[in-house]
Amino acid sequence: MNEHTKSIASLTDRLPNQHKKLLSVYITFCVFLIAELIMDPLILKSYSRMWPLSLQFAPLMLCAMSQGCIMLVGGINLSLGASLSLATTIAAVTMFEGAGGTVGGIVATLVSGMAIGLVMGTVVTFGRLPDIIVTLAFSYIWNGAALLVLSKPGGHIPSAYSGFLQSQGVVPFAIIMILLLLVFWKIIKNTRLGINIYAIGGNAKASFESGIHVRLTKILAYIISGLFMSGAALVLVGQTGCGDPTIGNAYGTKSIAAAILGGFSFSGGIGQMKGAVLGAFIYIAIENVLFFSGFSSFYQYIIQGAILIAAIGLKVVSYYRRGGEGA
Amino acid sequence: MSRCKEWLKDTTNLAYLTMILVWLTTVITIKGFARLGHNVSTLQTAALMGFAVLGQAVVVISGGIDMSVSEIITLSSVTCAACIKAGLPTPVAMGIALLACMLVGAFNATSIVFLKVPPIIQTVAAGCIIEGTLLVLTNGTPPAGCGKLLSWMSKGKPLVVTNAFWIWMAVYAILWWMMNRSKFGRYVYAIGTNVNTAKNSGVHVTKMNYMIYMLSGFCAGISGILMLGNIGSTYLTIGDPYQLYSIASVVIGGIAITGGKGKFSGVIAGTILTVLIRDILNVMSISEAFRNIFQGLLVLVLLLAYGRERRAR
Repeated sequence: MNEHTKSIASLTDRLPNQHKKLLSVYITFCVFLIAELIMDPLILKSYSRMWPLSLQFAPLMLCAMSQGCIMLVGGINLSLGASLSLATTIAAVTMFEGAGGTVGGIVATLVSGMAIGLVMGTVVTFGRLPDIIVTLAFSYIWNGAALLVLSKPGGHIPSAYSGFLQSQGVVPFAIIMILLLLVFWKIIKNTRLGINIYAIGGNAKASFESGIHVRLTKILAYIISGLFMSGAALVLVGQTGCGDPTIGNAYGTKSIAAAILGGFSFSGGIGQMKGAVLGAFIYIAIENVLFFSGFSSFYQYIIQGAILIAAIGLKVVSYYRRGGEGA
Repeated sequence: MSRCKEWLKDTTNLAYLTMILVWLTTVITIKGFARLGHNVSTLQTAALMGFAVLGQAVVVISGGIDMSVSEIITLSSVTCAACIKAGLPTPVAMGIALLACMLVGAFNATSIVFLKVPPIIQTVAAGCIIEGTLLVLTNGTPPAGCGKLLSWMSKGKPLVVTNAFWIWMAVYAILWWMMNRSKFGRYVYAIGTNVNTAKNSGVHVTKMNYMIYMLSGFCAGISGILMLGNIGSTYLTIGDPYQLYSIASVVIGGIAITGGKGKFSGVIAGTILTVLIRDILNVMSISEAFRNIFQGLLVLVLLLAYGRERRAR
């Protein structure tokens, strides 16, 4: 390759590798960002529109990050919806008025989210069972547990907390939270744990042979996933002002769809957290576009299914076109 | 003694033994469980969901999973009710409903084979699409329609137990023959054990996947139609509980969730045992919360007992 061909190498070759992998996600994101702005031009006129919007997008973004974490180690979490419900009920029961009570409740929710991840991760790794079926069984357990904590929507969320989430500062709190968690992930990703997570997702057996503690890494990935999930629960309770044992149901399949839209792969080891955030944005933007075009809410189920199949299918089809063999 | 141990090691035998033990325990300890009428109704419940379990078992043995059975059950019962209401004769209505279910199966197979969508995601997505389509088409309230013939087929009792049970046995017998005595069954086990090996040894994996998922759709479709016949009307959540029940029954019947292992004959014991356990939970009149937790734990414990993957390292 001479100097001339190098200089006219396409733009994509000059991008850093991790951005190159997300290029299609970036393009889709831009398309839907423009669509969103056309439908809701108020966003550009008044900055205060950012707060309700951020609260609409944040829970699914965090759920997609949580789902992405499990998909990185080659699994899939079918219990995310149920555990999200459980986390909101725990938040509603443990939070009390006053700074101490609120912070206590937040810590309790985050810890229980991580405990949920720990339990599932342990059963998956030490039981040597497929993630899919274990998380399916756990979805019933968490559903029951959520009903035990609160049999109907209720509990108490301090008004100061909801007010703080919705208060108009410089940047919406939900966005700050997502940015903080992205930074948190960035730090983890560059430690040995992060590299191990990507490694065991890519090839668990080879990772084991090269001395990675596969079980521990997988359990830690489940715990981090639980942490992201409880973050979503905290945003949700701030929004609704109560804990709800069924609120999470809507997020189960959506989180999988959002993570796939964000570039995660089922085979594991592929995907980035910022992709998950963008994927969640794209997913909700698609829903918004349909809502604005006057489709009834019944269509959302059809769209969920169609997105799931299309997002994976398109990837495979483009792979074939580039001359790949199988997927 | 060693022969006895060997016999117990077979998960299918274990499932049948557990079924008999649990049944005997309930007969002795719970009042009313010994009555013939109660046992007939237990078998009827088992039969109604049993069809879906038969299909699920074939899919699981082939290494896949069908999460759309619950929605396929709803689809078939709603389609059948709508056709009967529109004035079509019952057999035609049943045919249309079953055809719709097999189309869903074909759709599943197409995505799984050509788009390489993992079975779990494809079937969840198909379930979402069916659910949404039914909501859009029926606007939330499905049509009510059920002929005398359909009711008789489902709960008529000319021979001690209900007709649904005899139909279940007949379908089971055909599938048992297919799984144990025909090329189809050998290919299903081959695919479940190792797809690539199966492909290289000349199994037409694409064709097999179509047959497997369409069979699962067909079986779940029979469940839906007979459930319509059993209660005389239908609703949009009629199939919902059977997503976990069908998978649980397959696992309880001793078939490995990882595919390729376990005898097909275990499904009968698995289904009846699942219904018995559900009945016991109902009799104990515990809250919905604990029932959910118990069901989840039960599946987990059974998976741990005999669904574990071989230690790879």
